[in-house]
Amino acid sequence: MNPLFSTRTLTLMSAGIAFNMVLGQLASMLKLPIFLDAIGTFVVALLAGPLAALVTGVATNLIWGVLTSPVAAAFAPVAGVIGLVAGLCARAGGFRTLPRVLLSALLVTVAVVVVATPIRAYLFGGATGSGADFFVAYLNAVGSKLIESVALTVFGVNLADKVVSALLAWTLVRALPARLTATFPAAAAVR
Amino acid sequence: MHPFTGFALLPPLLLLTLRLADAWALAALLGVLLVLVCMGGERAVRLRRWALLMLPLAAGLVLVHGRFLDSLIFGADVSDRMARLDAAALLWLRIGCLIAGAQVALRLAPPARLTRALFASRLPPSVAYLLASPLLLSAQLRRRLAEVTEAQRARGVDPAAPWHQRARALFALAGPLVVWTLSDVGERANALDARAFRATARRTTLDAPVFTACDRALLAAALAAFLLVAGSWLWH
Repeated sequence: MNPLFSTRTLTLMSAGIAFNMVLGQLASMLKLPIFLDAIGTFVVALLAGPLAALVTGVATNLIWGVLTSPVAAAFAPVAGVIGLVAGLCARAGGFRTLPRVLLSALLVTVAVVVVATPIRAYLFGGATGSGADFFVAYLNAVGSKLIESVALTVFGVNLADKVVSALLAWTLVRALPARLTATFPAAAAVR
Repeated sequence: MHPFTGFALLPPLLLLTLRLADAWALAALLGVLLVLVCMGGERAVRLRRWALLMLPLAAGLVLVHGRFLDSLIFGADVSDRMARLDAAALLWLRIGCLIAGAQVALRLAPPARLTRALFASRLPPSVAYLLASPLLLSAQLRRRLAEVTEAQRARGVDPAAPWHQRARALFALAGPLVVWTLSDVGERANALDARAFRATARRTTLDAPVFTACDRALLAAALAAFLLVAGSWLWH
């Protein structure tokens, strides 16, 4: 029986997980108000497809959960859906031009909202201990229900992050030499 | 102790924190777990990690569930504030217990030992590789990132510049790192294939963590505790 992933795809996924873990540090080093913890997942989505990207996202958060705290593991489905939707968008030609990349990033953000909102609202009571809690409290105060407040906040927080991550991953994959991308048969078209 | 044993203690703890509905009982459990965190090595790091997560979460829960903005901005009368805060406190204690329990388990599984345990485990080789190799690779990438940052600094990239310049520096810093690592992917895959990766289910690992009688006893205790708590829940 053929394995689900080739050895090359496995090593790419391993590199993707490591990118997710290290490039988040880069964002905090540059003091940028974004997470950048999904660039590796986007790169895998572009080079190896949705299934490999889904596994990359889930594995990243499981490893983070083991290394730091189980909170990251609780958000593993969110990381998985980022990879899945990014991979599906890439397959559908969503990373060929700049407007399409922006639309793909928007779709990924909507998927993140759908999956992350119940986790954040029911598992963590709508709070995460970040500055975004103020917006949840404010939206709650102006009349939104808790789940609506959390959904709006998750959308706002993630939109910029996913747009930057998608743009960065797209630019990086476009800049790769053709002899390198040719070694990934499932790579999506990026131009 | 084997690195996997600590993780086996988490499911009964999760079930117990969900089962306990009394704030004092949860506070007592949290106290015991924090004492366990303090007993081992790296206590300052682990306590700090717990506090950095739980104290801002407490502030967030008070802000969201206490509805203080309703009173401050709109002058609303929030009569059920205490009931809401009680529920938030219960949630905070549950999360606090789980995070403290995880810190105890993580102390038993430092990354280096966990990597060896994963490679030596009965997990399929591809799963073990996928979970263990990023731990090794991320250490290399951090070193490479430091080298790239130094090189880009010499070329004028300033990580302390205004935010739009820092955002531009992102590509200059991430680009070489990603291209560099992706160039290695093929070589790594060839090296693995050349060493018959996935040809056999078991691999030989030097200095693999040993699964002792103590580990077996703890696993049995964790299973018994899980069944007891689950049984008491189903019974009531």
